[in-house]
Amino acid sequence: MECSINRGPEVINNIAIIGANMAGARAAESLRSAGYDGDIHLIGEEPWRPYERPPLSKEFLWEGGVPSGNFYLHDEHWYAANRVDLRLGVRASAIDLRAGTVTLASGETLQADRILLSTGGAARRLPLPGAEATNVHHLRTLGDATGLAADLRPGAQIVIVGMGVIGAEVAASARRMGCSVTAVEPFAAPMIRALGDRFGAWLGDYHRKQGVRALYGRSVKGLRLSGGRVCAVILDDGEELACDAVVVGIGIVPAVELAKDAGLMLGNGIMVDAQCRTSNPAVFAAGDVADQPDFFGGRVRMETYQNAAEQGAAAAAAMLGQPVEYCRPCWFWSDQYDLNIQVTGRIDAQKQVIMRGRVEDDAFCAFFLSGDLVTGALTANRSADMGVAKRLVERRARVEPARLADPDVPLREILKQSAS
Amino acid sequence: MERIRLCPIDGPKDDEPVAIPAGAYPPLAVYKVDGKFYVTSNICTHGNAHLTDGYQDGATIECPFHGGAFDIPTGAATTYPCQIALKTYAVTIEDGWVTIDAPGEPEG
Repeated sequence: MECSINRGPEVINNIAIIGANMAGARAAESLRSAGYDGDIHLIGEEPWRPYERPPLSKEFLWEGGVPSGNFYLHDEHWYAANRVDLRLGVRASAIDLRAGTVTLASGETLQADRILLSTGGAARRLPLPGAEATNVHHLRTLGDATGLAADLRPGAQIVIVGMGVIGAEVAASARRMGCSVTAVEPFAAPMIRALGDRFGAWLGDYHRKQGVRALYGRSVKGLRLSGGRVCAVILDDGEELACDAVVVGIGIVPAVELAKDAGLMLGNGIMVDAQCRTSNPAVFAAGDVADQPDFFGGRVRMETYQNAAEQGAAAAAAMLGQPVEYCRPCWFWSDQYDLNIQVTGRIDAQKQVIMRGRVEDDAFCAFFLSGDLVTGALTANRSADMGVAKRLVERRARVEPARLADPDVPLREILKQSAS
Repeated sequence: MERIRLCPIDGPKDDEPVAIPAGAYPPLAVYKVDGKFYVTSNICTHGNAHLTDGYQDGATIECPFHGGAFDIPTGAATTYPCQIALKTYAVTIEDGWVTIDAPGEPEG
């Protein structure tokens, strides 16, 4: 692509970050800690300064829709103190790669020598009539969570559509809050893409024991409306689930519109290289929206907290011309009921699985091996094992499977002795 | 000043902290970093995890739940999602024990 920003000598005085979220805020913070002294515009469509999304399906709901003490990434004075021009509640409507500008929906135009697209994604809407009713909740933003919190009343009948991470966490929160919960999931188990069949089935059992009525292998065909609200969810087989509110967790759609309009290369998101650079050398992307090189080869788009934070920081360094090679295995956690579940790397049923602890005890660590190479791990209430597991995967460690399987061999010792 | 004995000095090893259950103090973590001993609260300021279940790498302790991290000598939060510093305690080595000062009389 020929259209590069006319940036003259490599002196960067203006950086625009589009997306005032984890990736964007981390980028702004990293620019300043790297000594960058020029302008930073941090532009967010949401009206709130950057905040933590993980609590939105958990603590934020239990605490009645009130943000906890460390909900926001920075206090409100941080932005002015660090000369970050924070623009909230305004959409960036266009980027002009030749002129080196970002145009806001307000009509204002900002100069930008470098642009970071940390635009994230939007919750995928349920494509059915009635999905815009006030008691149908999608969950992505603080505003979404505030609306949902108001409907999670003790005794309320909640139908969860989709048992991915968001659906499963909200199901657990709703049970905790005394709601009656029915979940509908087309796959055979919750979080099956993240956990695989075997551990997905384990988690499905766990939800059942916690009183969730879960209907797997079923899908939603329609919504029955009454007085502007959805009063029942209609399934593919005609069964109707009466409800007070519906929670839809069917994934996100990456926000690629700006990139698309600017002619940047798209894949499953905005294509970037290991320098977080798009097909235009002055434009970078990070976080949920970035289609990036996969640690295991090929490409991947990651919707994880860790990736948003670390790729945002990596993109900041790359925008300043520092050497960057960002390519990490995924890592994420999910807290449901009294379970802390963590996954790193690739969970692949085809691989050899080595267990520490027992699935029946709801406390285990499963290592996934390709030969003697540790390619992934899953822990449930064995978080102490994950610190080592993450490093085994990151370092492409080769281990002796028999020692990994021996509970008497400390994992730290295996890490120390592993060859990579 | 009365001192509280937490653990013998051969307890914590480099990168292998020791958990001290709550007593006169909240749960504590005792670390050894380059031959020196440090004590912090053992409860992450973000989640509800015990830091001694986390991954110590030299002077850094990584929380086992959500991957945040703290600087052990100062307690400062160094990695998201941790933002609030850990409480740290001054250590005295006495008769082969890692000790800290007993809590004073509550004021007011």
